[in-house]
This record gives sequence, C-alpha cells and structure tokens, in this order.
Amino acid sequence: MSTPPLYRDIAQNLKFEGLKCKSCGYVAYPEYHRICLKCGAIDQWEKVKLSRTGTVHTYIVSYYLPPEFETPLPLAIVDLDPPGGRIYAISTETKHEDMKVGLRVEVDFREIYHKDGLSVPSFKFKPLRE
Amino acid sequence: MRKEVAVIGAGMIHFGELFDKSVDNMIEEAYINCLNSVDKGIEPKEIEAAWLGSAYERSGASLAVPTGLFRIPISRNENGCATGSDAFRNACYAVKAGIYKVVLVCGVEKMRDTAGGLIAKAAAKSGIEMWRYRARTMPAFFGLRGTRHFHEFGSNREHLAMISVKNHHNGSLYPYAHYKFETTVDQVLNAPIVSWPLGLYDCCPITDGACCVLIAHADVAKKYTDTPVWWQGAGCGVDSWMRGLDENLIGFPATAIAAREAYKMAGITPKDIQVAEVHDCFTVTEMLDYEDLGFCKKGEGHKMIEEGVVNLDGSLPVNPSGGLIAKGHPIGASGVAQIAEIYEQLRGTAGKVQVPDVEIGLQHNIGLGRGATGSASVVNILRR
Repeated sequence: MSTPPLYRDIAQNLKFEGLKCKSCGYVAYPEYHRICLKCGAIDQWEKVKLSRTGTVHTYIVSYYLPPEFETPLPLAIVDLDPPGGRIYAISTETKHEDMKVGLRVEVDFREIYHKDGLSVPSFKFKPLRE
Repeated sequence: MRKEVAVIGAGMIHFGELFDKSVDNMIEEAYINCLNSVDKGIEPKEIEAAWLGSAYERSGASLAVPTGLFRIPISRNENGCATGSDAFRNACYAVKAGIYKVVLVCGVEKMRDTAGGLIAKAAAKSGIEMWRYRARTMPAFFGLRGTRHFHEFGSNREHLAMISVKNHHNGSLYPYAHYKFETTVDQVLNAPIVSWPLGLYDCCPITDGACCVLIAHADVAKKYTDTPVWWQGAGCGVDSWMRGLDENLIGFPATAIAAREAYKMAGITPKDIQVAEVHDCFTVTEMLDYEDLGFCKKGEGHKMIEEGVVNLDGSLPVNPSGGLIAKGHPIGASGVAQIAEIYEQLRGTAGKVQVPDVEIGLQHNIGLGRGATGSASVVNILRR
C-alpha cells in the first residue's frame, strides 16, 4: 500500500461525510465521483454529514473468512437514516440469531487489524440500543 | 430467423482440479477437440481471427502459442465472470459485420494453482484503499440478495437446496462435469454454512478448465457442417448496487438489460426459450436468473424450482450440464462451455442430458464489477 491513495482517501476515511446529489437526492459514500451514479448529473453535489444510525436492508453471516476476522461474522447492507446513504458493513457484538432485515443499528468506523504497520479500518455496526 | 453467424464446432475438456495441466495444456486439448468436432473438417489456416476469454492471466497474443495461430488477430476479452460469453459475443459481432469468415473463441481459467484458489486471493482482504468492502466474499454478495429475496417474496433455503439437487443430478450425467455426484435437499441444508443463507452445496467449486468454439459466417458455414447452430443475438448490461436502487438487491438488473437486448435482436420472447445454461455460481444466483431472464415474474423464481419447470424433464430445463454448481466455474471458460453445451443440445448430441427436440436455447453469465458482483451480464441466444 503506497501513500498517494491513502492521501487521496483521507477525507473519506476520517470524516463520516457524504455527497448528496442536488438533482436526484442520491447520497454518495464511501466513493465520490463527479458524475452521479444514480442520475448522471455532473458536479451537482453538496456535502452532508452522515447519520450514525440506520436499518439493515439485507444481511448474510460469514462462517469462513481469513484469520483476521472472528467468525461467524454478520455482514449487512445498511440504509443510513436521513440524509441517507447505503453502506456495506461488518458487525461487532452481534450474533447470527440477532440478525434480521429491518434491524435498527448504529454504525461506527473502527480498526479491524494491522497490516504493514498501518491500521486497517472498516465500517462496523451493532444493534441500536434505544 | 437470423442466419448470419453459425456455430460450427465445439471442444470441451473435463473440468476439475487439473494440477497436472497448465493453461496451455488445457487450451491445446480444448482446441484440438474443437477442430476434430467440425463435421466436415477444418484446417487451422482457415481460422482468420480469435478471441480469448480469460479473467485473470493472459494477453490475446498468448493464445497463439498453444494453438499455433500466429499472424492472425487475437484479442483478449475480460468482463468479470461474464468473460467467456462476452468473448463469444464480440467474436459474433465481428463475423456478423463481415470482417472475418471463420473465428475461434477460446475460454480458459486456471483457478487452483494458488493456495485457497483464485477467488480467496481476490475477495477477502484487498489493500487498504478497499476498506469499504472489507470481508466481502463472493458468497457474501450473492447471499445478500438471497436474504432480501426471502424477506420480500417468501422464498427460503429449501428452494435453494432444490436447485443444488437439480444441478448436481444433471452434473452426474454430464461427461465433462467437475462434480459428478447426486445430493439431497437434506444433505444440502445440513452441509456446513459458508455464508448464511448459503451452505457448501449452494456454492460452485473452484475449477480449472478450457473450452473452444468455432463460428463461421453464413457464406461459408455449410462448408463445415450441414447442421450448424445459428447465433440469433446477444445483449450486455452493466449496473451496480452502489447506485442505491432497491432492485439491485433482489436481483440483477444487468441481466434483465442484457436479456431484453438479446430477445429483441433475436426477435423472440422469453417464452420461446426451450433450454438454458445460466449463471449459477451460487444456487441463489440461478433463482434470481429465472426472474431477470423473464422466465417468470419478479418474486416468483422459487416457484420455478418448486414446480419442477426447470428440471431436466421440465418444460424449461435450466443447466442440463449441471451448471457452474456441478460442472465447475473456470471463469473465462464458463461462458464458452455454456455455448458449447447449448450447441450440443440444439444439434441433439447432448447424450444423457439431452432435452428432447429443442430448437432455441439461451446462454447467460453474470460478472463482477467495482466493489460488488452482478455488475456485468451477457446473454446469447442460439437456434438450430
């Protein structure tokens, strides 16, 4: 892993900030592009602070992963609360039997392991305790 | 019907864990089998161009070494797991355009030379810039569609198991299949879970393989065979779940787009399809394919297997070769092998898995895109 991609991605990696399309409302995160993936509008973005809570749209539970990951590990596609955004996240403190479509969750961004002296982060979610 | 581009030969090899065979060994065998399959014979010097489908390793030019096809144009085509069918599609366009009269399409993939297989290397923990998809795996991305389909439409793991049982049954009869054993719904449901809702027998194996087909322009096709199979049309669609559309998590819109284009070009509807080889890297993929290819309505895919429509003796047999689940999925070879199987079916030479009296067949693959699978899809339609 070289420095330039880390430098390019620093805003995305350290701020939970998305871009919202002024034309169609699509929220881009974690990837930013000049052209909206949903409607094709060019340079029509406004910065939005993303919500840390959301709802499980769908999920799976991984039983086989590289040793850095504890299994079984639920993984989900989470729809963030307004202003929106859809992310792919791995779970923490969540058992297979806890999982269901529609589960309310809180989402965080945490280190999952070290590689080559660098911290390797990922989205993590856990059930929301309201 | 469209009579512009004909398939005139097809050469398979036995798919499997071929540790004793190199990429070149596999290509040589498939290529020579393909030459020998042409009814009235063909000389290599009659081949004017070639397309190579390989997802991971080779340039087009490298195909010249094992085939001896130097000094003709050879291009490599790559489009994720749709690589082989996309190579075939592009080769057909070139023949239809009248640029070449006889073209070779070769698909190959060496999946088992790396520890854990090529996919394990590719999927789970790529560089730091890819943290966004950490712990992603192929069964994860397909399984995510399954869970949502269960939630919205009432399908379940038993439906998926029935697809596994069907494809393993077909594979047990197909001479070139990697896996040749029968299984039961109970065995599939009780197998180790890989990525819930997918268990071991819901997943295709990691397989080495190669396949070649020869196509010819209508002007010369009869020189090679009296029973050609005519390419009727193709489609290709590209999409991504990252666009935020819900339809991307209950199916593959890319497949629907590719199918629409192919049906339109062929001048037929889904009801005209009599046999199909579709992408079943996982059982859930095949269930979604039924819907996206228009064989049934969205949300009714599980009824196709429940009612036995897609069984070998059903009204629309799907994956008579055992599909990727039993035959294996050597990426670049998979699509070309599906074409080879539909070619045999339409000529009535498919042996124990022959579907009686079929005239129109469909071939379909789904491929990986950025950060997610199911992003590229290719459909080809053939007719005798």
